[in-house]
Amino acid sequence: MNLNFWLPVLVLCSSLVTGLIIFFLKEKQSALRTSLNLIGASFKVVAVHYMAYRLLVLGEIHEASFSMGLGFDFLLRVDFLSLMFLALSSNLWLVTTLYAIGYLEGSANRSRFFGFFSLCVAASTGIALAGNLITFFIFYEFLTLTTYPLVIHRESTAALEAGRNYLWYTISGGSVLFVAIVWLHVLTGPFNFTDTGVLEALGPDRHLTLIFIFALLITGLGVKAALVPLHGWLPVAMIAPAPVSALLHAVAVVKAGAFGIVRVVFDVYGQHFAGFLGLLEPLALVATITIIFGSVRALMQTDLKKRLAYSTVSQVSYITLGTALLAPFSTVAAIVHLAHQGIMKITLFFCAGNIAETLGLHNIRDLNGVGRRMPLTSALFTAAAFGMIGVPPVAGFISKWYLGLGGLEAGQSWVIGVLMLSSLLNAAYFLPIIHSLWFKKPEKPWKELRKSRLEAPWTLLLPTLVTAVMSVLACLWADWTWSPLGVARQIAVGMGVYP
Amino acid sequence: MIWLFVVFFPLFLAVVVLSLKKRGFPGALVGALGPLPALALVLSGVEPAAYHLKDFLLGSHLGFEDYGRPFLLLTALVWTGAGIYGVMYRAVDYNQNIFTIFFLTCMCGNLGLAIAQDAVSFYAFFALMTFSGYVLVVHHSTQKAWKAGRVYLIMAVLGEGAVVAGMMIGVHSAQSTLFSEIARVTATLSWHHPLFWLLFAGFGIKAGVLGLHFWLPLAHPAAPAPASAVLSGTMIKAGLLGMIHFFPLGLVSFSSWGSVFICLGLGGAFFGVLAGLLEKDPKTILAYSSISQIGLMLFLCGLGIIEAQLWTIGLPVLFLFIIHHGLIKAVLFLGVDIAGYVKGSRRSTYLLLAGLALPAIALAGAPLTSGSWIKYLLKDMVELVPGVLWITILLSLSSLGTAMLMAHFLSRLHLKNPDKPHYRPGLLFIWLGMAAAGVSLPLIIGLIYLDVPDVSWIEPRVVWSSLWPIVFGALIYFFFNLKKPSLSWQAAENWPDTVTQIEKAWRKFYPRWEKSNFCDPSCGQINFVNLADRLIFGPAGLKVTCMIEALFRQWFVAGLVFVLLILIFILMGSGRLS
Repeated sequence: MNLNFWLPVLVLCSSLVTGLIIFFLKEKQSALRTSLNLIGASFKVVAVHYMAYRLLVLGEIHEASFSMGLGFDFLLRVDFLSLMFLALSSNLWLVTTLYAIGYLEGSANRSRFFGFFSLCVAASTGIALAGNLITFFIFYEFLTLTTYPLVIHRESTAALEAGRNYLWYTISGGSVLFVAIVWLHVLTGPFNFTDTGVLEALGPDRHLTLIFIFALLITGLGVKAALVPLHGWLPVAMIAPAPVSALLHAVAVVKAGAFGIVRVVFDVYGQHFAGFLGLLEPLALVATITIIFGSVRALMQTDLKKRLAYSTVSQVSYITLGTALLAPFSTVAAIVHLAHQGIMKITLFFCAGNIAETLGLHNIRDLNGVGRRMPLTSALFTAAAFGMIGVPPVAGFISKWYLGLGGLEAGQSWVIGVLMLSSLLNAAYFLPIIHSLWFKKPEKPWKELRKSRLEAPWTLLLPTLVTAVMSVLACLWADWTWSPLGVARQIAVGMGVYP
Repeated sequence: MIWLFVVFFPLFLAVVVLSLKKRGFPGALVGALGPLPALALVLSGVEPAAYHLKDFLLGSHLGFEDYGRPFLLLTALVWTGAGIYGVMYRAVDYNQNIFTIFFLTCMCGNLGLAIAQDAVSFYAFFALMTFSGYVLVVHHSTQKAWKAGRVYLIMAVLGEGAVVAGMMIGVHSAQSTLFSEIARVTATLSWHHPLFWLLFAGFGIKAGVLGLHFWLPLAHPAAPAPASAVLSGTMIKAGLLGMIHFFPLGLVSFSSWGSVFICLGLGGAFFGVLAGLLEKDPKTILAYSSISQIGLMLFLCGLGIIEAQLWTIGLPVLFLFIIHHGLIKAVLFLGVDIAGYVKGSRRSTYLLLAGLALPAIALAGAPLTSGSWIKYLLKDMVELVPGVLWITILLSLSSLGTAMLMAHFLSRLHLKNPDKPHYRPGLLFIWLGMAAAGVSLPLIIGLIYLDVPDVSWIEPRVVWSSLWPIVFGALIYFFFNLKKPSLSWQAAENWPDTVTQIEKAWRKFYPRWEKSNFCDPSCGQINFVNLADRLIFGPAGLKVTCMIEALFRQWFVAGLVFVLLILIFILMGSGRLS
């Protein structure tokens, strides 16, 4: 068997097929559904890591290509960049599945939920594996459609309204993206991410058009990446169940947008060519505005999940900012923050879900003294929040450190100011939560929504613990070759920049 | 490996305490063990090779280098003292084990930063220390403690931000995280490089430099006694250590920064005394005394910055100074707590007062103490700098001020109400032992470990020069009876406390802000969406849109735009065809 061909296909199918089978299961067959889910997710984790080993150590190229006619290929290709996103999505799929099983225990429509959940992960895998813009776009739109049923899962008026909002934003973004991709292909003909310099070869008379197309591409991708002012859907969509929010914010939707921007800058335009066209400064500006604006908005929220949602708006833009700075260090920062933001934010959403499920608390005002009732959850929340602020030894520090050094390297020292301001704002909206969790006295007795021997069911605690420990280890052993940072450095070297 | 054991032993113990079921005594006992490996390492005199921990953080370097040994010594000694006291200190309440756990994590940070040789691990330990310190400050859960904690945390976050930004710039310019490399590069930078401002502000907050000090007199007294001892004894020195790591001391002469250090240092030295004299609470008086003493240390660093070659003498003197002040201040803070236990028994009161008076006069620089040694060496150094001879007089005056402040401290002390329920005779004697150690250890360390120039101790001139400020200080204090409520205290009541002022200004400003057009009343913050709505739907927005609308109703304008659009599309299309 030709592993180089079959591994990407298998990785994609592991979640796709799981999802399709789950649709046909009866609501009651929860044991079968659970085991299918876990088998699929575990298989994917193993396969992805094996593939990473083959790529990074053995230097094998994994590629699966199918012709779609007219010279366009449906191309699945594992390169350095896709590896990071792939590893993130496969690992977090496993923990989120476990969490979702615990979270949705006994609720309605679970087959529908897990079916779309797996499809959604398949879509984000496809986005990671896509070897050209066409394939990327197919999975990008597939992601939009598979996430919608998850957002409206509760079928309440608010959820339906949020879903409608979500569709409006993402479909319009998708159509803009579609126009841009078509226009680009009209100019160049079919090309893959590996074909460097395609656009550069077009000659100077096309530069204006290329700038315009870039703006369209970023607008289309920026909807999912929640760039201000296209972020409106994200805080509304947090109405979805906690595992969905976790997946939306950490892996699937938001990351797909950010990953798309990284792809466009590095593999479609090429970072230097984009810089030559003067596209990076506006992109950095938009990212900066998003970072600050998201943080300021987060400060105003009183709903825990909403505050986390705005925090995502802000944090994901670090990736865009890192992409927009012309320096190896910031490239590493952008790649590593894909993973770091994922594991930290998913921890925060898991914690918010734990508190909401066990004690029925959603508002930050009501969180007083939760640390006494749920010490583990509160401790994990604290760890992840400190990571978001950028305090060592949690992953966020590494991202900020590299981003800051990258900014200096690129001669853009204002980045340091942005990072400081953003850290201050992060501290301003996370530290009060931590303070009320631990130090304030509860005002009224807790409602106990769920009885369990531990502070919450183990299926909710274990994934949270795993991701929190991952976030701490990612900083403590950052210099290790196989830590997220180590891999990001290798990826950067593989992409031709040397930090 | 020995480095790892030294630094992370407290963290390991914290996990042990976390797993303890029983509250109180056993936990505190475990807590006292934390600094022992570090103490053993320093006292054994071994110097293990610097350790490069490859995969940890961004490549961590642990070792003594130039500054590590004395700093680790001070840190370990003060934490040992505070730990032993913590065992005896029985505020039996819900949080006892929590206190010990954060006592240990804070200790880990403090020990770690003493021997960290690269910026990233230094910052990691620094942050660990700062944020664990918050839990120690708010331990008593009183209104006062919450306020102190809030101010502490806000200032800490601001400080951390400035520190990390400065470090990034330093690491970027040196292309290395090692302190030795960074110092070499900072020596080549111009004095107004933002790196210096950021690091000075960031570390200045931690050290309590004049102007950035105002969290300190709130936080240090609010914490329980063992925590106050370490906060004032070693943790503020971390700020100083950070500064001497990054400023190119001994490599290049920076007269401008030297002047800043000297002016702020001397200013702090006198401000601390004056502000302390107006306070009533003995712990607050001690906190202001810390600001004053840190000012003198800053002054000493300033001399080293102005004249690079002075740093060879200045460095050991600075070490002596921090050890001297750290130990004595820790002993004094613990002594304040003891005072609550011994009230009532005459013999114990006398013992306690004697035990407190000794470190107090040592701090003021009485003859035959480490204090006088330091003052003497400081004056010596000043004489080597041309043109600043008048400063020697200021130094004597600052001794006089310290003597007055200490007299004030002692006289305020026994007014404290004994609110502690149980008296422990053992505690007083343990503390007396610590006091003796606190006064004698700096001398011994100075003579044995540090390369400090010796002094002719009993020469009359030397004795007199260190004696008169104390005698006069005490005389002035008691002659003018500064202890009694008087004009100065009325002034103290109205003393513009920075934090209160800021809060007052905020209270004044906030309603005005709430009423303003930019604020969204539902969330109390600026709301860009509302703002945009107001712009679009406001009179101006309506007017503009109506105008555009009216313009487009004229078929001439609409037709022109239409033709223009067609032309643009044709142009874009022709670009493709050609």
